[in-house]
Amino acid sequence: MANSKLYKGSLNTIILKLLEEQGKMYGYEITQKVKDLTKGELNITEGALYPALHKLEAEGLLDVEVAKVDNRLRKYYKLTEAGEKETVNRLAELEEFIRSMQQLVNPNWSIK
Amino acid sequence: MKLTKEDILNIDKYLIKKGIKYIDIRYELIDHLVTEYQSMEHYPDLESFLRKRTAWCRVIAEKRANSIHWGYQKSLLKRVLSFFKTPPFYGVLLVWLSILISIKAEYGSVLMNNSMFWVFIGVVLFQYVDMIFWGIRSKKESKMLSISTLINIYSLPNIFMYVVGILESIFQTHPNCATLYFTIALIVNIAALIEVQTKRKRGLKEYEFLKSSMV
Repeated sequence: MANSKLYKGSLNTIILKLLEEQGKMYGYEITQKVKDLTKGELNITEGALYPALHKLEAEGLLDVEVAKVDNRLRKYYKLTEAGEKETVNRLAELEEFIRSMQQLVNPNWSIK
Repeated sequence: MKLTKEDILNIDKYLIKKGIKYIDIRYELIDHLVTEYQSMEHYPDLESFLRKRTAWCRVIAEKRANSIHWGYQKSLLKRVLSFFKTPPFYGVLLVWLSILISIKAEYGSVLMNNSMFWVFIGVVLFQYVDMIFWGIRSKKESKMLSISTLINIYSLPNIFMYVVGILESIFQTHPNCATLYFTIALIVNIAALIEVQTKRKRGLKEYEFLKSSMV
């Protein structure tokens, strides 16, 4: 597994990006989607995921929808209007960060 | 393996036993635990599965309280700002200022500021009565984290009351400062009252829904 410390600062951006693509998702689904997309390289722990989701919800970037699934309730998260704008900003910031890191570690290679 | 209603009920009981008493946290944890368990290739014993996950369940419950607290402070500030975006607010402010100017012209600035102080105390007292009344009347509050911590919204506006004593000498020499101070204090405290009532109404509705929908 990749060094999780490197991903820690990007967790919120990862969540926002996934929700932008998928529309609405629930907690367990997010952990599995990240695992699938990174081929098991990145494993988001529940102890990190849910506090991040709750914080984004409290900040007004995420909205929730509760639905009954089988014999239980499921909490779906989706982006609010403010969340959509924030996602664009954070992705731009992340891209800029990756570009700067690339310049530092491998100046001859570029992501365009 | 699909868990039965009884299994889900046992998970709920287990979480309550482990100190996670709030329904608005439990239902999300239950869904996660059930989904994870059902997607396993080899099903362990349910209790040992739950035991391994108790620690992060507790962490989530604790951190949730923190995010709710800061979310509430933010929503209070948003409520205050929303006043200034509503045209009727300026009408109310105009009437308020007219009354103050009339009192000042007739009786002087000391009486004007004293009147403001008592109006402010009235609003704060109303908050306390509201807290006590709900604390006694509704047991539902203690079952929903989002409602039981609602009174935190009052903590920031109440600072205005605690600071009055410190600023008393300034207010005596600069009566205009007192007028401005109490006007801001009133706006923030009224915003807090509205925010608490709105959130409580929504929270109780959510509680009824969760209670009736959970196993």
